[in-house]
Amino acid sequence: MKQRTKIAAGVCILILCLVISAVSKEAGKPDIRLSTVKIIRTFIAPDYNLPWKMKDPQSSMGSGSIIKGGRILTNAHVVADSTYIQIKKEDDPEIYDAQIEYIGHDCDLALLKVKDRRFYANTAAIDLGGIPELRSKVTTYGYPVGGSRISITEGVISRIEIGEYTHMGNVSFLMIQTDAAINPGNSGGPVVQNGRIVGVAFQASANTNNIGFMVPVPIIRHFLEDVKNGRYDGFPSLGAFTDTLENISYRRYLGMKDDQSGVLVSFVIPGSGADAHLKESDVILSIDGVPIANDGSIQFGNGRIFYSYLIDIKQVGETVSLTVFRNKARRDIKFILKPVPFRVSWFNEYETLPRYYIFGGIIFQVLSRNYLTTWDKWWYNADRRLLYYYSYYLTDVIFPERKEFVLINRVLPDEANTYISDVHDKIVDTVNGVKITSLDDVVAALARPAGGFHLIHIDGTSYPLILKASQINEANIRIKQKYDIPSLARLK
Amino acid sequence: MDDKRNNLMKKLSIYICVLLALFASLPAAAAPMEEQVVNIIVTSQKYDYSSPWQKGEITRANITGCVIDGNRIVTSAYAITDNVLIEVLKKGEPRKYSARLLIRDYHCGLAVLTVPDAEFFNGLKPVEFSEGARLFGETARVYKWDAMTNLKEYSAELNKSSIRFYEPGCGVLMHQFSTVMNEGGNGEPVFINGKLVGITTGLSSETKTLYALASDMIRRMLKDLSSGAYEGMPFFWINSVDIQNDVNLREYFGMGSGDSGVMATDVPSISSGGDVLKKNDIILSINGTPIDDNGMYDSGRYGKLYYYGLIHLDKFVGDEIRMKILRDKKKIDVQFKLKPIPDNCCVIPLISNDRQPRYYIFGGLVLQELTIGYLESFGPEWKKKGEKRMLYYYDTVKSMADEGADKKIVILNKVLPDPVNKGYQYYGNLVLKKVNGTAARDIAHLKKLVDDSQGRFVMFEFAGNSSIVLDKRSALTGEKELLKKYNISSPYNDSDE
Repeated sequence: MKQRTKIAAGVCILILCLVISAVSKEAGKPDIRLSTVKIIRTFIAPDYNLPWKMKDPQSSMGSGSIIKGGRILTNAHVVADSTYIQIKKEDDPEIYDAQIEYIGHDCDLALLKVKDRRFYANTAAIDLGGIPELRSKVTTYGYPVGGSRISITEGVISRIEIGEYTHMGNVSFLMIQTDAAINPGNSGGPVVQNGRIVGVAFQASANTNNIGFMVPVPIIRHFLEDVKNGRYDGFPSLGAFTDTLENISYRRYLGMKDDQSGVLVSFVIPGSGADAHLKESDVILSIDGVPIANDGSIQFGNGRIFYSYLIDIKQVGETVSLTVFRNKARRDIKFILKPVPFRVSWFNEYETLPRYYIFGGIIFQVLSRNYLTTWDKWWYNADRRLLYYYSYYLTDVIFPERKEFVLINRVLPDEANTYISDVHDKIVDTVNGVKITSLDDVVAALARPAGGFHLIHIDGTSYPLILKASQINEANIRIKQKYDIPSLARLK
Repeated sequence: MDDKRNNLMKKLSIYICVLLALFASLPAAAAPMEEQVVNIIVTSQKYDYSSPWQKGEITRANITGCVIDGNRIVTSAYAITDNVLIEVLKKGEPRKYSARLLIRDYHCGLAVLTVPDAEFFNGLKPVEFSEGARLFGETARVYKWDAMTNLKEYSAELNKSSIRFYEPGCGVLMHQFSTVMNEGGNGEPVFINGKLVGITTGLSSETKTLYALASDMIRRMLKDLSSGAYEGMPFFWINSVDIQNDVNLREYFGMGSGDSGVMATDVPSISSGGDVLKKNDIILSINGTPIDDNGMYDSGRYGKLYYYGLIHLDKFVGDEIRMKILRDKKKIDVQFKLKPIPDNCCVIPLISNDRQPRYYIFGGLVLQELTIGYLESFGPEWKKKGEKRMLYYYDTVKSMADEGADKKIVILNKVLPDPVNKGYQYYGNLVLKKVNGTAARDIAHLKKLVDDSQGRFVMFEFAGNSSIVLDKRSALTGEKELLKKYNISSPYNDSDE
């Protein structure tokens, strides 16, 4: 008796499954559940404090979805710095190895591929949809914390806006907010409406309730378009900082008519696409024919979003057309968009190893966000002069001749440097009389001691750091051995 | 056996003699402590740097002082900051007397008060200053008036005496005691063998360390006062670094094996010696006293002290300082006269206590001069949480000193929202660069630039390339209403008081 019921139940479930799949096939919609995968990453990140070494390997879990071309779409932060990526499907006990095909850290997206064809059995590519309406229902699929099977949550679209993508940091793109639960592990999973992907779940707002964000389709499409040529270039930048012009006196001061609107160019980044095209005090009235309001917004669907979207939907190398108001007259200008040029990186960097040069125990490195974030609560605790340079090197035109800001991380104590071994976190001005504009300059300058000494001047004091040239070779050998440093230099 | 006993007797009698002698020399003459130590009640009201047109919270504190000759009282200058009323009490009696400030010098950390009603000093006796022998290892007594009626005594152990820098460019001799006190550091006198060794200026409840300005600082101040007008501490305001034993540095700068000293690394011209000393000069000796490689000299009574002691402990404005220095590998002698601390010396004033912030409100923009007080309004961790550009200016104030005495950093504190400044209401904590294309040197100059501007608009440019344009007429027409709305009595203060 018991036996029979069990069998009967089994048959029932089987039928139900078939029915469901038959129905979805009928509507031309794949079973999202079967195409949502769990991604297990092992990763290691370099230690910017001791730049020759790596931190301990760690593991994390995320989600992804299978899209056209046998690709798995996920977040960059789900697979960044990975040493090994494994993928598991909901209905398959097998664990598959995966490789990164493309990774875009700015938009926090990545494409993975699995070599083993068996992986794709029983899966179907999910198509991309469009921009969902506010308050419309969406479903998120993924493998968040709290269990190991797939988790499906529902919610509505609550906001459409430009916001910061925190994986790389300091970049903002279109993002869509939903109240469907998005928890650690959901990252990379699809947010679905009518059987199509309308976003990739990627970050949630800390200390608030029901505020989760997805990368929307225009950003996903931009990423897919970008990699078509076999290389990821990233998002372009306008190349200028702008201020809003909400105050009528400012617009009148500039000679604008009261019905004209736009944003004020406050700073043009040297070496950017806008360099030599835009000028400070220009007012950008429209971009590619789309008028910009005084608060910096443009019409978008039924609402308004920040004008930067108009740049974000273009690729590096594309031309942008602006109408600007300059010297009380309108003029049309065009220039080619480039990525953000920087001398001090404002972004979290991945899959790169810190460059360094160790000489007589002095660790030379360059200033970057990755370096500053080695401090816990870095914005408060990192060296405040370095923070000032980091924040304002562009607008305050600090050391404009320098390609990068070389700093002394610290001095590894040794008998050759014992009286300067307290020096740390200082920007290097000159070495042996040579003005330092890059890490390579340091290497070159240290090859030419002056009068038997190496003389290093650091920022903020006239006090020189002095090493005796004749002691360096021995010291380098000793330091390499004692501190267990495989190589005293990594210059690229 | 007998011999031994005899010896013991001999020893005992010696001990007794010594003890007797000690008793005889004990402060039999010294007055009881409650005749020397008085209770001070200070009512203070700090300026509100975030709303500079008004004063902030009112606080009342119970502090301590001690009587010195000439019917005067000395206490810690930091304990009476921003006071509106100072009252004194004696011997646990309930009567309060109004006190008047004679001198308050934040650079040396001391304040001298007097009481117009001379009756106050009846029955009080001035303290005696400690002199002579070394103090190490002696137990000190700290006196503090508790609840106005109870004079408490605490014991404290002297840990060290050193030169410390309370205010920029001013070395003061400070004793550090370990203590069991939980509250204090507000002017309590510290005695060893009944003689005053210091006045407390701070207490770290974490490390149980009590900081006290040495009585030498008080004597120095009184001497300065007795010569007529009080001139204050000399202004010696350089950056320097200890040579330590750095053999490379010594060899590079050509120091002989017997030479030692400190290297000047930044010498603003407004400092005493600013016209004589140069960057990278190595100061070998001051007035004949050699400086060692840690920057210390042998002070005798207090052991090794940092070289600023030779300039700040017993020297006065106008005194001559002779230095032997090593410059370009040659030893030379230089001399210079000590200058007074300038009232107005740098882009961020050395001290902002007791001064109303200088500000100017135009079209709701609250513009003011950057001061330490403003930076402190970012909270106790202001050196971490303050605006980074302002902190940079704070850190590099010495190298900006030569931009001229009247040059100040003018900032936009915040914008008081009003129709005239629509769109600018989130602007704040910005450093002003120019007004209508001209750099504003200070608040008064800024006000003049705005007042004198002829055009329809006033353009403010800030570091970081943001800018604000206001319609001058609209700003002026709306001013009265705006000030009324925000309850502001005056749109500017450019006085130095």
